[in-house]
Amino acid sequence: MLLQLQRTFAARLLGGKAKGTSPDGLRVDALGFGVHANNTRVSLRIAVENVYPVTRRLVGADFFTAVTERFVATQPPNHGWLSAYGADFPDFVAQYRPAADLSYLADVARIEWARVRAANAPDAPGLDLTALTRVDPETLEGLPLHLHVAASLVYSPFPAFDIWRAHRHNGGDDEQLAQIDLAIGPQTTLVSRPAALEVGVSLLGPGDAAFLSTLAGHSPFGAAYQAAALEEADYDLASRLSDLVCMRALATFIA
Amino acid sequence: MGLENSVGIGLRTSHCERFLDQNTPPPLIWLEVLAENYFDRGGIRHKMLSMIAERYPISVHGVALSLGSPEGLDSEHLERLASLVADVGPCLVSEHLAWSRSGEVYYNELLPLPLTDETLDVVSANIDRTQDRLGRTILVENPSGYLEFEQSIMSEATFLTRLTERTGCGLLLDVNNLFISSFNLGIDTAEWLSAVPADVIGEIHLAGHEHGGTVDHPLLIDTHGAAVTDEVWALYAAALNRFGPRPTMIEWDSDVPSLEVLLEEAARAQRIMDQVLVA
Repeated sequence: MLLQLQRTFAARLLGGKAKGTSPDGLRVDALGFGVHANNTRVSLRIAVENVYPVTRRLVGADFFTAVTERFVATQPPNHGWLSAYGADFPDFVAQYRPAADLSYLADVARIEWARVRAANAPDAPGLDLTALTRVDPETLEGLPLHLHVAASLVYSPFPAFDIWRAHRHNGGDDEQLAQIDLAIGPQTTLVSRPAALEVGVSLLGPGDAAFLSTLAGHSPFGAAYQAAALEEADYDLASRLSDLVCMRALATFIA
Repeated sequence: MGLENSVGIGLRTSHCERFLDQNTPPPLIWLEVLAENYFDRGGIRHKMLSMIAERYPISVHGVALSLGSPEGLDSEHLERLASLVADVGPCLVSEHLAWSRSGEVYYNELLPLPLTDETLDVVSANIDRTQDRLGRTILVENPSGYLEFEQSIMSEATFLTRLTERTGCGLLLDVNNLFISSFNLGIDTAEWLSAVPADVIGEIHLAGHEHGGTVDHPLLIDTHGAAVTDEVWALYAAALNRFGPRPTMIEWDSDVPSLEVLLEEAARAQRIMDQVLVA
């Protein structure tokens, strides 16, 4: 009986029926039920809002509320801890018709999700450069290196990093957005946790972007270097690696 | 130092750094955290909590275990709670008399239960499983009520007391919730306080609420987003007079104010508790 009662009750919490009515077959106070339904919708919506402040600024509060209400109603969470909830929101935004004109929006949202991911990822050591220098050249060529568990690459055909940066603080600057040329070409953003209590967001140069995305695609060190050198003929591997290690972009390796 | 006679507050992200300040740490004896905010083992939040837990006793307060689910508990949820409890070594662990999950969906809301024998069986079994896994007893919090089920056959006080008898759990009395349920559903607060045995009350919560509903059908809404009202302070004093001093916590987690505002609320609760101790 309790199982069926809860199913009936739950079916109307996120459902689209008119407000102020109680679930069919349950003679409970409609207004009281409305409090629970409202709390459910609003609290889940706020959980998504908290993760995507920049996306919200870009579209305005009303538009964002409409997208998140739709998202929450169609893709509610499956677990009682919400740290992973909202991971699918960028994909949802990408296919949300009313936002179709804002082609960069989903990529900005991806940067925001990568920050949450970076903050919540398990602690793990980063790549040890000294250890890497001890690897003989032949082994190094074929060595698989992986991104650090907290690190993500966000590739966008648009200047998503510039847009994110211009709006990351409250009172985001529409003039700055107006100055961003959407046609300047693709940007790859690295989001990582360079220190225990810090999340970093950096725009990668074309060489670094090629290097890290080749490694992320499970190709070995040698192939990643070649890809980077193709993008930047004078790619300085030693100095670039040292910077990437500082950002804790790479995981420790097993030789 | 025991917590019996002391007042804590809920730890909120915006205040974390103040509790790590070596020179002027806020003058509180203990802190309460929302369990599910720390379910990722590792990461920034967990690290901050570990550092704060070295300085302050921590109470772990769950909001999403869904003790009222006839489908049983989410095993991964229980495991993550157990990991957090193992990591933090909390002074208290609490959950709610509510359900928040049905099928594959989690609703992020403390949903109401009909107070029946079946519900008593379901909640007891889920509490047993939780306490077995954690290796300790938990406290179960009374809900803020907005509606009643015609199926209910016992009062909330009777239901909660039976739960403690069946499982050995204690109760967390949320005075604001009791006040809200009294206003919305007509629960007699004096009757509630006299019906529940004093020794099962392990903690008290205080929070603010707002007015909602309609002119014809006003409802109080539990928001945790405002100061404790005078009526709730009065009910708190009545609860302490009945049960004796208990660790008390100021719960303010939406529109979170400055830490100073929370410390003032805590100090007010402490003054009321001190008066009960003197009497």
